[in-house]
Amino acid sequence: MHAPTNIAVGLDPTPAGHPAWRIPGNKGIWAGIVCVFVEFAVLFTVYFVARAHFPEAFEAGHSRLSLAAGTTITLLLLTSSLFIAMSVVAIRKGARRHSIAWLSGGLVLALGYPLVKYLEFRWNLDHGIRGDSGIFFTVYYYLTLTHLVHGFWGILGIVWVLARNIVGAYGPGEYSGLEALASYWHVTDMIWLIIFSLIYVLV
Amino acid sequence: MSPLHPNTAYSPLFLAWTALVMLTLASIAAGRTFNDEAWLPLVIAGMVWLKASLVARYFIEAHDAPPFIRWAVRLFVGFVPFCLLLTAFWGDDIARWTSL
Repeated sequence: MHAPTNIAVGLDPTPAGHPAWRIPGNKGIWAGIVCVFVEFAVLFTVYFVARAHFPEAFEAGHSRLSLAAGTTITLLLLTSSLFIAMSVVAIRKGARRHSIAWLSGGLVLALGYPLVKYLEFRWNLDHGIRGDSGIFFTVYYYLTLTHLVHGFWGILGIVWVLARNIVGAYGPGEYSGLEALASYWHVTDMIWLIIFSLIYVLV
Repeated sequence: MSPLHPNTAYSPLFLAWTALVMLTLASIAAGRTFNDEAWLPLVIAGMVWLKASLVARYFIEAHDAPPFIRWAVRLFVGFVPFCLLLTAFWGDDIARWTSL
């Protein structure tokens, strides 16, 4: 298996003479991902400060949310992330058709995220859960809506990368665009795993 | 697997996904069963760190990345569990320090 020709590799070789690192995707996506890290670090800080001030509201609030919706979204995002990682592995092996199939599966599952979130918000409104229903729900809405926006960017990215893959833009020697999208989607998945634990699980 | 020879096997990804699903289900069960226990945040913090680390290691392949990216991912993965423990055990102090 030959290494991709376009990946960025480290300038500081190991004693054996091999490059020490490579950038998953490209520099541009990692500039964006680090910004996302900072953005959510600020949002999580607000969550923890609010939780420290109003522990009772957080203990009572989470039991009113739909755990089924949160769990479904978690499984959709985890499996979508798996399929997109499989797509990257397939293109590395030169199996472009498999890569397209995995990516298509990842897109279908990713589209389930906004759908379930829409149904969850409708369920919330039917049960009187709105943004002004208390501090916990204010935090819940800003965290989940902000994440949903990032989910939309990711879905648009999957569509774009899928189209490029179909027209043959990627192969074993060049797949940085696909890997960049995969990195972004995995980070989106990682952030959801954190939100799920803080909002739906932790009492 | 090395930086110039990234993963080309499906099985590590599937195993990581299986572990992530099991950890998610275990965290739900822990939250429901031990919701009054003072040590629950410690367990949830550990699970958050483990799940995020699995995504970083097997899906993002952050261990092959340059030091800046590796450390950015490590810091972010460790940030929430750290804050969770601070809030769980020193919540009153944090509320006092962050009062206007």
